[in-house]
Amino acid sequence: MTPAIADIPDTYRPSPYYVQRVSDFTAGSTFLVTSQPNFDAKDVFLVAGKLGYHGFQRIETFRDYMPDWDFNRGQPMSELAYRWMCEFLKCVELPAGKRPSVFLASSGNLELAWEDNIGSKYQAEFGPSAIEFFRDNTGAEGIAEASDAGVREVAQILSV
Amino acid sequence: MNRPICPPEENVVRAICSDHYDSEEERISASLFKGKDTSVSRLLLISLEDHWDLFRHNVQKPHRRLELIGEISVGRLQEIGRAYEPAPMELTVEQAPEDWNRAHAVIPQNITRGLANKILPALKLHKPI
Repeated sequence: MTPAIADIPDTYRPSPYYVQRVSDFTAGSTFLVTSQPNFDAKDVFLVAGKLGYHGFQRIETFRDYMPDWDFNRGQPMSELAYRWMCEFLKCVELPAGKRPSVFLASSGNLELAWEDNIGSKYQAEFGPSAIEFFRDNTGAEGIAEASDAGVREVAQILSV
Repeated sequence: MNRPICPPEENVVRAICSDHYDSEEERISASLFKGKDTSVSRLLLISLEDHWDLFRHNVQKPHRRLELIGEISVGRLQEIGRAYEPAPMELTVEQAPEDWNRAHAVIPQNITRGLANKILPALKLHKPI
């Protein structure tokens, strides 16, 4: 019997985007080509709902950044970081009427930043393997593993 | 390599581009100062007006716009570092000229997100001219 998608562990699910190895025989080297991800409509709806059209559009612009966009440090936006950010947005409780800003770090990580109604700062930076968090009214600052459990933990720390 | 240190009286600037600045919400990312070897540029050697040209030619890229320039004195930066709780830090600005910018300098210390959040409000922000 074919297992349902929900029964398949994450590690066995197909990547949201493909990576193809390309051989350049004339130069004797190989390089990788990464496709644009096949966007999940639910994630697009989620991101546009939580970050607004402006935030959604910023992410689309970050995807178009050329390599080395920050001198030798600008990495392409990480699609894994995007995935963890989407999972986080599903769990976190944001202050009423507040829309986080989204930023791109030189490492290719995505960062969210917002304030509560008294101006306390909340921030989370999503990378492929770690999530950094900061909340100034509790002094919470640290790094969690990028995993379903890590996302839930950070969402709990940063929820109002 | 020992690089000359900029004195507290000097003012330095940092380019703030669209990836680190949300113009609609007017928020600046803490990543602007987080981490080590943060690039800054010295106003002593190049005027603010000329920095706009310099950054437009070298920092702007396709889809990446120069939005603001943030200015701070070395002394203020050091005060913020020393006053930071729970982990005070002695910050320095070291001269590190590059081909594209003779006024280039770096803050070599590894600045935490918490400390970066203290530096951001101290910036004097300049809008495009």
